Amino acid sequence: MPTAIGIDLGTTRCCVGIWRNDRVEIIPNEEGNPFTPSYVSFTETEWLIGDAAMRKAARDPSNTVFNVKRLLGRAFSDPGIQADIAHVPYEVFEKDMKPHIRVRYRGNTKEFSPEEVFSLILTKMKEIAQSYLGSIVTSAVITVPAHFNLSQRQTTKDAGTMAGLKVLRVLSETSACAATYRVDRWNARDHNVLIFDLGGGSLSVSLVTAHESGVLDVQANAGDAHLGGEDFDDRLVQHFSAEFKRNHRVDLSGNHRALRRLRIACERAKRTLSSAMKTTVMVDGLYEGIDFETSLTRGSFEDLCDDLFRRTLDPIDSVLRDAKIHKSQVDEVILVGGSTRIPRIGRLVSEFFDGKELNRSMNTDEAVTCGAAIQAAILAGATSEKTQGVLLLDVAPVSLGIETTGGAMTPIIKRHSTVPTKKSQMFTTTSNNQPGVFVQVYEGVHAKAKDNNLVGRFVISGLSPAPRGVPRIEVTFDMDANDRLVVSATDKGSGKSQTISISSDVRGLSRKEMEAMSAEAEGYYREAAERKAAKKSLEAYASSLETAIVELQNALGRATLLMNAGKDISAEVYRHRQQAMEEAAETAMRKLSGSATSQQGERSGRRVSDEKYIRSWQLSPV
Amino acid sequence: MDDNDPISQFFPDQEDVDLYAVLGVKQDANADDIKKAYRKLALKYHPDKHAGANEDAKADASLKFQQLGFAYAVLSDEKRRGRYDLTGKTDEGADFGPGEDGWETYFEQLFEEVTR
Repeated sequence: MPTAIGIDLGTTRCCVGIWRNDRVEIIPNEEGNPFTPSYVSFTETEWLIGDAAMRKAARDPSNTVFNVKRLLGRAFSDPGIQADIAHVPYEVFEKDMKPHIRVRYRGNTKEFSPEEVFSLILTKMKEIAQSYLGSIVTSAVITVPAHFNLSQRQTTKDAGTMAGLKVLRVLSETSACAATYRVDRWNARDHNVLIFDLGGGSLSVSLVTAHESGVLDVQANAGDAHLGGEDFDDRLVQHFSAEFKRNHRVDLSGNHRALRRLRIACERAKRTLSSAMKTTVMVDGLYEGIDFETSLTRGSFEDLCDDLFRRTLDPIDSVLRDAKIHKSQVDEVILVGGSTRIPRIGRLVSEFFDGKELNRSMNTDEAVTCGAAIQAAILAGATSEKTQGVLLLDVAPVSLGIETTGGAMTPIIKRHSTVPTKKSQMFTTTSNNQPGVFVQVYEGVHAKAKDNNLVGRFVISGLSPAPRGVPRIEVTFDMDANDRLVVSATDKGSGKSQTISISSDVRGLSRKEMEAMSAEAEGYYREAAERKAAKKSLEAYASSLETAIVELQNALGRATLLMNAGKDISAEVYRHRQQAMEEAAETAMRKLSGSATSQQGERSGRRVSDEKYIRSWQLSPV
Repeated sequence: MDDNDPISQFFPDQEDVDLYAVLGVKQDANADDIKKAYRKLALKYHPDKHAGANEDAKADASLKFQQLGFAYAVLSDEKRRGRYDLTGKTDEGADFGPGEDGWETYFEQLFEEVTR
């Protein structure tokens, strides 16, 4: 059996575990810590990962990378990303529409994608496991927040592959907790479990029904990608920077080293306040020899973060709504994640459930890793009696669908459908004699397709001419348990079909695909365009001919008048009239031949150089 | 079998499919029985439970699980189940009334369909 580990890839720290001898062992790193900070620091000689990198953060802030999870698999234009970039001391720039990181490494400027940084951290986690186990680790289950979409999950998987791991599954953190819960305590009755996971960077909430059969049925997920311990630290840093400014007239913003040191002190104070009612925040020589020392009570910490704390309840609401379960039907509320140690959070959640006692029996920090290790063992084919009966029926994290008439999003696989799943729907054309259809695949919950995330697109061309609404095009979405999505479309009339597999890099069309599509479209377009251009040319020539004839008739008319005028006209006047007529005829002939050549250029038909035309190949629901 | 019905996708080359038989329940089974039967069979056929098997066995289990999921989707939805009992049709049928997006969208869509 291959050695498969479970990795909790957190915003602020990572943890690795393995299922051995009917239980999960959490594997400590070389410094003896079960948790390894998700930090990578680049130096003149090497890169450091984990504790060593974190220690460098204050000394070399621009070359120490952290919080990368928030950048993973997202577009640079994402407003959330912009807010994150403002908060980090290292350089983030745009490349291929995605955020990238620029650092100094071994005397050179180096650029990394977020997944490359993650692959370094994953490699480290793999090495930690290998040296502990004394054997080669080949595969892993990696956890991500439940709200991660397909692109983010795919990117996470890519990072694992880059680290030399076969990624057995990218698992939602809360689903992992459910597996831990299942193995930890076997409860021989059906019950609803709400998992509330508030970590360093994000909040995930899941409602899972645990059945006596052993099946864990995930009902709904919700979360907040930007709510966690880091945000509470931010609040404290902002608060104390303002205080420092008031007292010493010194602006700390832009001074990354000072801010870093203040942040460390704030984080320590936050932790202390989980048990104490009051603490001191102290930084020696925070700015040019000025020491910073102040006290902070639990009450004022809670006031400062009040809106953030209250926001943690929103996902609970939406999970219950989506699962169609009343809060009184929730049998267990499980709190995991480091930030659930904050007493106020626990009180808020308990109050939400009308004073219900919360289940804190699971190890707050290790529950996710345990679940990942359990699932890794199951997927690697372990035959432990304890894992045998466990089956996690997970759900699609987002709705998946296609763009239809008017830019609407028509979901094919709805959010929270159990995966693996396969669904089909019939569509038709929107215009008469539409030569093809442009299938654009989106993920997301918004009603307008453009507000969702485009994950792939393709074209079926060569439809037989038919009035709109007549052709029948069947679109099928097939999603496996690994969130791998295969989309196919078949024109029932011609039997033509296209299939694509959605992967992380199909965010837009590559230039080559674009050109191929344009060339294809041009084939259909050219004929119509040529006809149109020829007609326009004929019309133009006829119209200028008409003008010429009118002009000549006028000249002729004047000549006739002159000829009929009588005998008193001199030779000079006749000659003059003839000259004018000759000129008029010449001008008319010149105009006619000029008009003919000016039309020449347009006869070949305009080139289709953009997607505009193909975009009109819309699908419409039947 | 009707080629346009989604059932033909999940049970290719099969003339007559009884979704109740797929789940191994009687026609008068209640919602709870259907749920239980689905979960019991899911535990048997879910691809995760065949991770160590060869490719053929995996593909076979995967198809079985999809058939199972489909039968469950139809029979666990009261409206769809009633329609299936009466007509044998398994598609989601025409939706009368507003969906998640409310009446406005419903009428917009209706208008689209009628004027097309």
